[in-house]
Amino acid sequence: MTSNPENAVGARTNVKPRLPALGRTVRVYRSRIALASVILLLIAITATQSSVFLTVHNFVNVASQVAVLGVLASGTTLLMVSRGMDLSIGSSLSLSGMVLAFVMLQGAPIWLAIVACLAVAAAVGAVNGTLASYSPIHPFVITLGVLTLLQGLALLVSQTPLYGLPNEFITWGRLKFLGLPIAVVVFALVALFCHILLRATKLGRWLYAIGGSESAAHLAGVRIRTVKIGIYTLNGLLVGIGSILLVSQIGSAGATMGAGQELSAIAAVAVGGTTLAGGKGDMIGTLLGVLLLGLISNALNLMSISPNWQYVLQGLVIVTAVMAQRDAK
Amino acid sequence: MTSNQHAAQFNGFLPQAAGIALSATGICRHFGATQALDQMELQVLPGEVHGLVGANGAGKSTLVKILSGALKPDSGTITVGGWHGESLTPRRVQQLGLATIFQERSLAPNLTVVENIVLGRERTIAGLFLTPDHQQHDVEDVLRRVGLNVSPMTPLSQLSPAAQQLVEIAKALYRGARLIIMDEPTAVLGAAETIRLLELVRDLSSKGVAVVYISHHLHETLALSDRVTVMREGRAVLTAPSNSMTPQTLVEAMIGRHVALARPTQLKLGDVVFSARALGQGRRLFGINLDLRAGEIVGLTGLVGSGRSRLARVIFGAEQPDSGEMFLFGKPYHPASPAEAITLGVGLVPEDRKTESLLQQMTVAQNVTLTRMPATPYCGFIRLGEEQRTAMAWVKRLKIRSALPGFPVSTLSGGNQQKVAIARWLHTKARLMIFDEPGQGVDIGAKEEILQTIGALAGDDCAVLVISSDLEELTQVANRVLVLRQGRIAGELTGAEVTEQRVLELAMGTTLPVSMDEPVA
Repeated sequence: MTSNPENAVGARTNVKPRLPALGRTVRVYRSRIALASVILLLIAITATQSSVFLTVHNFVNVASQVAVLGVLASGTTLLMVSRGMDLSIGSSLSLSGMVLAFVMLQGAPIWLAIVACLAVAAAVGAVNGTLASYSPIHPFVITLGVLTLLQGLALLVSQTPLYGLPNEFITWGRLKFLGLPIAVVVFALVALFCHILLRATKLGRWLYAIGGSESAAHLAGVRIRTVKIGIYTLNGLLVGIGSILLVSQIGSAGATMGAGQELSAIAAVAVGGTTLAGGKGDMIGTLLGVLLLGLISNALNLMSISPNWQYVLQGLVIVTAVMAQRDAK
Repeated sequence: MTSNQHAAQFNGFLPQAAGIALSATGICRHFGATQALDQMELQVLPGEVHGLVGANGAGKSTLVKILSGALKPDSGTITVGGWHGESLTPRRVQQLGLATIFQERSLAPNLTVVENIVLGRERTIAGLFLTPDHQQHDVEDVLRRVGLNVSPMTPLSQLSPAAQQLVEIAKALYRGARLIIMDEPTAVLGAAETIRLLELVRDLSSKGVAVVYISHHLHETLALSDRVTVMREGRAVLTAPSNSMTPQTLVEAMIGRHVALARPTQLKLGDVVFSARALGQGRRLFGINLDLRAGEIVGLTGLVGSGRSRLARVIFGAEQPDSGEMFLFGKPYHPASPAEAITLGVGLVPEDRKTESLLQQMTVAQNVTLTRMPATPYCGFIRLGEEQRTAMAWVKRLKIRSALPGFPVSTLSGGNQQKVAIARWLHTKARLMIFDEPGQGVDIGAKEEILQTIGALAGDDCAVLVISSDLEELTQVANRVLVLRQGRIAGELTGAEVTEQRVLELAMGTTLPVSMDEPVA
């Protein structure tokens, strides 16, 4: 062997290019840029149509509108990176919110209601995780069944919305930190937590490995079942947090308030570049995806476009954004 | 009218009176840099049983795929009956009356026997609705011919593997096959079932259906066939009447050369690291006794499907044995999962780099450190800087070319990917390493370096098991070579005994197994 190849390697290593730890290639950046451009374009067009759009107040408004969706999308990102899926998060959101309100209306202390709400949501996640890791059936199908089941349970708690929650809880939900509603702060913390988890912890690394190839991860010593159950449970916990935010925002709990949220969350994550095939994706993409969904409905509202057209346009933008990322696969 | 004629006439094919049933000449096919078939020649006469043998990688599977229309050859001519052309399609294959019985069943398990047999040939009303009778009469006819005594309405999944194979043959006959290629048909069969199948093949042949019989069982092939063709390195090196050949002469033809093989320097052996006693698993592994010492490299070879990779997976905890015992460093060892095996100091580089070994979307650094990440003891935060430095050190040490720790591993060549896979286990500091086909899909230069790395590992007092079909590779690194045959250790060869002739004889069973590792029945 000649010494040339070694020198070549040596020369390159001295340059020490600072590549990101997650090894995103230029191609991934390209799709990220495409998504950011779509968002900027949307902002530019809307700004010409509405004078209130480009105000701090409006952006805070958008942020608080997407806070719950963002929390759900964060958990969904963790699942989808590991090639998992939980369709029951929408009805789990409803059920745990109903439990929260119900317990408070029984006169129990607020902290107890919150614990009960989180416990229900986490238990749902744990059950989904156990089913997903011990059964060969795709989690899509399993959690589709769980979705219906939980919806039924939520309606059994009460068919009519639960009003009259304690004032303490309502005021707590209107608190602000540095001018930001508490829901936005919680969303930011959840997103940061998931970002660090994915990027710089062993658990995060295992999620990418399982999503990339379950058999390779298994043969590299990753305890697949433990990790899966853990991550579905964590996702459940995040759903519980989302439901506390939602109930505090609207001041009541309804048995169908979470319906369809799972699809919005999956859409936001997919728009952000996390594929259903697993093994890739990150929180930054998800944040962009959530932002895009929030901006679309905000922009259309400001332009007074009817909600029916909003659905159509929202769907078009999602499909376009996902197609634009096709090359990143 | 015999049932044979019935089926043939029904499908509009008249029996070929004379001439050649199938002729393939000058068939070439390459995959990347590998020439899988190189001017392959095969002539099959009507009604003859034609044996086809060759070592792993001789090109049999490629030939079968070409003759079943699944692959296009690069060049060559195929003649069947009156038709000739360069390549076949699955549709043309059917029209010409060719059929292939693959090792893996190609039937739909959820359909019934009759639905499987008529699949794609259903008689319909207006091209949409199935006729009520389902051509049941003709189907019963072919089932009788293959000697299968089940109701045509039985769901296929309720049949044994042997019966399913008969359904495949019945399906071929129903389609009027004049030539049936059988790829390792007895691999899934027990002794009695094998005898029945061999009788069926003779019966088909006497009725004018030619059979190309591919098998690793040389005795069986010679006893059954009229003529036999030996393949080596993508060519037919010999075609001769079977009664003029012996298993030994077949093996000689399969090897064809006597290469002077390099011997590894004798290393000094340490304590026994791993041992297995009477290890068994289902119908795959039987009575495996094995001792691996520190500083020793043991080669493990055998035909594909002889249980080599399975043994590796059992040792690594990826599969569980049914019987027998294992010991690691003298203590009982029953790993429930690879994770447990890894914590006890065992490592495995699997054969399939793409799906079992490396994570293609992850970076070189992430792949190297996957089993032992530099992380904080609590919360498991990865020290990303240290991870990059660790990976860089391995990139340099194993000369992983044009790779930076942050590159996705998928951008690397096969040889460099294999080095990343090996670096993972060097980094984990495994004390017992198993390499499954470490040189597969790797260029010569990288292969040399990988073998050196494996040698150095043994020098570091690691116990090493190397699984390979490549004897040159094995003789280069291994101190001794174990040969597996049908889940049993058929023999152990050391030093000058390790020749291709001896290995193939043991692997194919032309001689009685060496006594030492014969299981206690």
